[in-house]
Amino acid sequence: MNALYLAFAYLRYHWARSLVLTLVTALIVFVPLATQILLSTSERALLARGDATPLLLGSRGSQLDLTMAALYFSDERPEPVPMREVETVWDSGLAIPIPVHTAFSSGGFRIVGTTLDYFDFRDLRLSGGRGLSVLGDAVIGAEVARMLGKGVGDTIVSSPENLFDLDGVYPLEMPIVGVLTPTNSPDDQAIFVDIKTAWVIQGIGHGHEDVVTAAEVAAGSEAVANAAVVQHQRITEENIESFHFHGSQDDFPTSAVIVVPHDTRAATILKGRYLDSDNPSQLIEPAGVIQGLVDRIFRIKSLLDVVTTIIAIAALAAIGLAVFLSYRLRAREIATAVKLGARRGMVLRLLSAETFTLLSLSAMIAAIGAAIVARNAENWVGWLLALGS
Amino acid sequence: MVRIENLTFRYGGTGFRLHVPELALQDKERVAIVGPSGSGKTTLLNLIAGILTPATGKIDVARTDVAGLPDAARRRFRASTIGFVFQDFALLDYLPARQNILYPYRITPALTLDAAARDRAEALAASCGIADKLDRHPTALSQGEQQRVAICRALVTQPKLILSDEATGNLDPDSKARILDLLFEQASEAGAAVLAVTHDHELLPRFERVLDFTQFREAAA
Repeated sequence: MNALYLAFAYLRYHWARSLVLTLVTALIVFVPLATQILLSTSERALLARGDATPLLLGSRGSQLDLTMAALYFSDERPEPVPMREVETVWDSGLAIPIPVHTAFSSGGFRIVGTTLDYFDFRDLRLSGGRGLSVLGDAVIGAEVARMLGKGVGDTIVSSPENLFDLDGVYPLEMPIVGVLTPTNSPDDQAIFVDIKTAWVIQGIGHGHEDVVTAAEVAAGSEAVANAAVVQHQRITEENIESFHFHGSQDDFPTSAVIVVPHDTRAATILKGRYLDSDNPSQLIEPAGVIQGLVDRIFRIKSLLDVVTTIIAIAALAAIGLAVFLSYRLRAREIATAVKLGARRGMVLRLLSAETFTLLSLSAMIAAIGAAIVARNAENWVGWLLALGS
Repeated sequence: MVRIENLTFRYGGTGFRLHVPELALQDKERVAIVGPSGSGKTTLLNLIAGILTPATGKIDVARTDVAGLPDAARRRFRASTIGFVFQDFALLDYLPARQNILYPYRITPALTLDAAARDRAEALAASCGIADKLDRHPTALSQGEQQRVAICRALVTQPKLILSDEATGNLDPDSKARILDLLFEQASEAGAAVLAVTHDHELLPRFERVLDFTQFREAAA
């Protein structure tokens, strides 16, 4: 107890030096721990999303781009696949196809045009409001609601695709009719609309007398369209009947199609149908693609581990030197203690108590940090995975 | 209190040799040791305290053969029987004055830090005039105040012998006499003998006996 008392008194008196040593040691312990926790959680989250998506249909090209766009709503823009592919899967009777249209965004969050099957497939529940039922409705993920501070009854406007495209379509204002419960997945960061709504945003479908001008917004009154000052289009009860689509729906685009086969046999038959490299479409297993990505990440991680180890050794050596110099500075105190009759090993006990106290404080800080990371890992990993989407 | 017979000591490789045929210090006696630097005055204090062990000869302190004790017993004996006062005070900067006084109790199991020890520390501090400065760290004390703390530390364990190594060497002339008188006064109250190394000849009249150490230093072979 006396050794601990003296150690604590010393550390407290030299608090700045103790603080630096404690924080540096805590960091050396914390960084690898936190990295390990985040990487493990990332691996689990990535693989879980991949495992939960049996098959993915899309245009032939990068399988990773297709997977990232369809599962994580990332910035990748795979070549669109025509809706006739969805019909083909339906007609095969082997699986349920769920189109995913991820070309647009709003407020930094991806707008995902899909069908109601998607909500059942991902087991998404509403924390408020209702599901999609009318053209133009939007259901937002929990993180979207939190970040934008919006909820049921508010509206969101799709971002213009290209500010310099003077001939482009007007952004669409959509009422928020529902908010999803958090799932710690990319769905939290998505704005879900019916795929037809996505086509409206794309300009494939449109209504008439449906534009809103800046003056109208300012005056709070309806006005006839004036393209020179158009802000966005809005689907209302009055104009919804005027919305229509030009062309055949079979040719309308979707970014990808999630294919949920009825059984293993159905999956095998379906995969066989897309083996032909001349087929402009491909059917892939996202789990395999994600596993490849994770393997690549972990190969990089092993390199990071080496770098971390080298830095940790260097930092520990620096701490060791600092402690050694600190002990050298205390040679006079040690000599005094010996003269006053300090028992054998007292000096070692005293220095050990100081080192133990420092390491304990460092370990405590590192453990608290690791616990915070572990507690929030799923949220943070979800956010990290959604970065850039 | 102290009886030395036919003591010899040498530092390996330096040629330093010390020979003390006979030296005695009575209970409660106040003896000064004078002599040129390097004559072995501090070495003698360390031999009496059991920090160094002699090559030959006998050192009895409070009727205990110090040199004959094993190391652990010698440390315990030193902690409980001898009080040290140093020229540089040797206070710990990270402890307030009160804890500096009680420091011996923190470093050895030979002493028990109890309420009596704490009361003794307070009483010593009061009699040395630093009762209101017990919560200050050494850096916030004057040199005279620091030496008073050091004296309290030497006496708080109720030792039978005070070894003083140039205790007044770092003090101004006015403080020297006051501090030495204080040391004698406190040692007298505690019933302790004082063996003090000093270079300050003005202070010698205050001692009961003065020992010139030059006679004990042997020329190198």
